[in-house]
Amino acid sequence: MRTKRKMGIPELNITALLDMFTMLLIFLLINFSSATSVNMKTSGFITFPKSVSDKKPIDVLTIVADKYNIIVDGKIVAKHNNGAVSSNEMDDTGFEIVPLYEALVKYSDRTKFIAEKNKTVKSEGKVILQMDKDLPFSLLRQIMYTAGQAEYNEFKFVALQKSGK
Amino acid sequence: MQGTNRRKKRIQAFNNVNLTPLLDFIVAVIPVLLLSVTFFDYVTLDASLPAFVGAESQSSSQNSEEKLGLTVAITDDGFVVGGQGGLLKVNGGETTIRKKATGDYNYSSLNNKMVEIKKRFSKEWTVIIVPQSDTRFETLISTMDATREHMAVDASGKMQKETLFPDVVIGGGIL
Repeated sequence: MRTKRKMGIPELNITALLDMFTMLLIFLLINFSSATSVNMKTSGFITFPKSVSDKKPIDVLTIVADKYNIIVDGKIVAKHNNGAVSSNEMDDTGFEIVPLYEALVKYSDRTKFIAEKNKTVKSEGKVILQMDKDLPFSLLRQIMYTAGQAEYNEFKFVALQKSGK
Repeated sequence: MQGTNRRKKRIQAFNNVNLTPLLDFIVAVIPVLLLSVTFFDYVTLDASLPAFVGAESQSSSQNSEEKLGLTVAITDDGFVVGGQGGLLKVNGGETTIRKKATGDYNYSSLNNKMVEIKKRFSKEWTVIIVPQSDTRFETLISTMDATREHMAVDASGKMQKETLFPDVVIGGGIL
């Protein structure tokens, strides 16, 4: 070993580094396989609440209510100010957000149309709802009411998993 | 080049396996894997609209004698737990599970109450949660957590999860 020094260019012992990399590789590979298969669309202006639930998200239509917007499947349909949607976007009852309703009906009609042709697709009325943790329940109620009018009756609220206790 | 020349001189080649290609490969793979790793997990909590579960629970309640209609209202002072025909009394006649002195909702106390109720009504799965208009979404999620399951350490020291009331119905709320 020592004799090598005379050759001019010292050779690094990379075995230890390689050991570490191999372990890191295995660790990352394990994590990779357990990653969620559902690719969720989300917004940058959102802080998720934390929950101890262990249910994994499913791949259905997503409604996002971030700090400023209401987004359906990646498209902004309405804006809100701290949970208050402007009154000209509400219907007469004060519960239904009209642009959200229109967007949801469009999707539910499309799903029904596909379900007619393709038996593997079902229109189950499930919808994923991502909401900022500080938004008030009044907005949630309006969104839920609107979704209910568009035949989306089952909600899945998204949260981040709270690790441990 | 120098390396190979050197290795030719050495008969015991295995003393010095060239690990550099392997290292190249690993260095290339690790960033790819690192990018794809999620360090946090999304989870979902189920909730439904009142009308939807109403129809479902009506049919199931026909064969069970006791109907509970468990309701948890989130108010400014704390939680009010009610059932068919009255409010639950906690701590000497009071009906509200008060907030802690810190101003946080007392989720653990609510959780313990739910465990007591579950013992009495073991076939009930539905809870109606009635938040206020200004209740924050985070509070609602934590309340759903507190009513859904209870974590307890059993005799052998293992954490056991007891399911309480997983079918959540979000009530209209106090306007």
